[in-house]
Amino acid sequence: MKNTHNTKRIVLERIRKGEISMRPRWHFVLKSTLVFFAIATVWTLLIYLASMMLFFLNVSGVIFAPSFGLPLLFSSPLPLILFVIGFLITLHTLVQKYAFGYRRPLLYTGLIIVSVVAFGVYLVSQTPVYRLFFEVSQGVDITDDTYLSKMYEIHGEQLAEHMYFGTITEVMPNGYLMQSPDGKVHPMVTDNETVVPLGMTFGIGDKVVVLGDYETPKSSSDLLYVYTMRKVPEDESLSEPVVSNQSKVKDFIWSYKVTDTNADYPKSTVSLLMLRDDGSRQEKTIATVDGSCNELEDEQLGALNSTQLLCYYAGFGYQFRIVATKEGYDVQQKEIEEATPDHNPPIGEFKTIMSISH
Amino acid sequence: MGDNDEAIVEKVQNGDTEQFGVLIDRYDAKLKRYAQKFLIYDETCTDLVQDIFVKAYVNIKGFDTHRRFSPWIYRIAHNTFINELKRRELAPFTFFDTDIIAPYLRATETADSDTNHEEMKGLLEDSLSLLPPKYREPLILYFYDSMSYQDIGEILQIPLSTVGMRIARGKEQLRKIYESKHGTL
Repeated sequence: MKNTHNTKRIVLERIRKGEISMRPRWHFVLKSTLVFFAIATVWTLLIYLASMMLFFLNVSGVIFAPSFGLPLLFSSPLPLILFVIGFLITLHTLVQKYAFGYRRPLLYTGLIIVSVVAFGVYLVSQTPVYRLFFEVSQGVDITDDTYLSKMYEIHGEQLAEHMYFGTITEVMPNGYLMQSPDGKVHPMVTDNETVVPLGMTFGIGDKVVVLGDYETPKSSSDLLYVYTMRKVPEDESLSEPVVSNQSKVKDFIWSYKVTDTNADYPKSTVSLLMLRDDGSRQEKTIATVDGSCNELEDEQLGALNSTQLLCYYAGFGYQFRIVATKEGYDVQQKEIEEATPDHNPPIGEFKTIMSISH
Repeated sequence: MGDNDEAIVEKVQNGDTEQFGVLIDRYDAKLKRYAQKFLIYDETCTDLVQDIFVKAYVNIKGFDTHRRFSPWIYRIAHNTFINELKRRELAPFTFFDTDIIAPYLRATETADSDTNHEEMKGLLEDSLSLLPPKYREPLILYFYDSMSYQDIGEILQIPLSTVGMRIARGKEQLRKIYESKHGTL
């Protein structure tokens, strides 16, 4: 009892002398508010980063790594994975401050957090934010050299070993030309041993993910030898920006750039930029052709006053135009060949190589 | 029978600081016993308990009087003792405790609980100091302070199933320690 009196006397004396005083109520309100906002901020950033990670996995084709027997985790953008894990731990630690956090086993709290983040990522995927990622990643809005900008450009790199992703721009007798999102053209060689899903065929404009090697057992090569490839289904491809049903194409702009300067002759990649009436833009790779290109001012204008494009090299080339259809627009291509005094080539016909909806 | 703890806290919050003495009267002995059992008859226990009351007073406006005061002040005590063990590098506490990952089946007290209770108190008196702090603490709160699993969970901020698991494992270890010292129980 003596001890109790001692403790009581000492503590009360210190209170009376003003040596210790109560923290005001606002201090605790402020503290709780800060913790609440910290949780909300971490939660939002986590959903943002997880969404971006999913986006990159899709855009880079790494999401298909498991179908090739490759581990998804180690094929993914490492900085993003580390960020996501770091934020998960931070969020978990913050949530543990509340009774609903520590009263459950860590496993349950973790599962609840992951489920809520996954649901948030799903909700985000239903919004046009992926399209924003896509546009930023395409370099449309990148003017700086910050780390964040660099993160958006991650998808342009080859993420998984031996895994390549891109759009077929040309069908060759023994393979394909494929352009990856960073603009690099991969000459792919396929043969009887190349494994493709039963009944799957590939054509220009198809987005594909490829497992292959530039190295052969004997030497390195300029050709990409394909072990297996598969088409990326449209619904799984997030590289296509989500386009609102209400927005319509209001203008077409051709772009062409020489993409393979190492080849014996120049190669150009032809792309079509579509400007929509909601201010958004969408770019599609049309083809990779020999030579260089120029717009034909004197030719008949196509849909929405679009010009025609001529790509030409050593007497051969392709002419491109856009025509309006009921469903939208068709991009058409025609082969052209230069006449010589002793050779009068047949006039080619335009063939549709890509359809674009309104 | 005077006011309950929460009503006294409300008076203190409203400026009747002398009422804090009533709370000291009610908890001083309990917290000193908790300190002595957990820190193993440490000489600094009295100072630590004074610290606990000072912390409680400083933060008393942050206490929600709709909740129970007892787990709140014991939580302050727990943090103070853990810091003391860490300061003296006696605490094998880790940042990440695997005990709290998965759910465990809750251990329920059997019909001979009362007998076990007395028997356990005997074991605790004999061998408590030889138990790791992780198991020592829930046993002290359960057997000496007669706290519920829920209160212990709130004080230690661990799931209920983990409380049950630690108490069960603590009891098992106590028996083993006792048997190794004195032969079969």
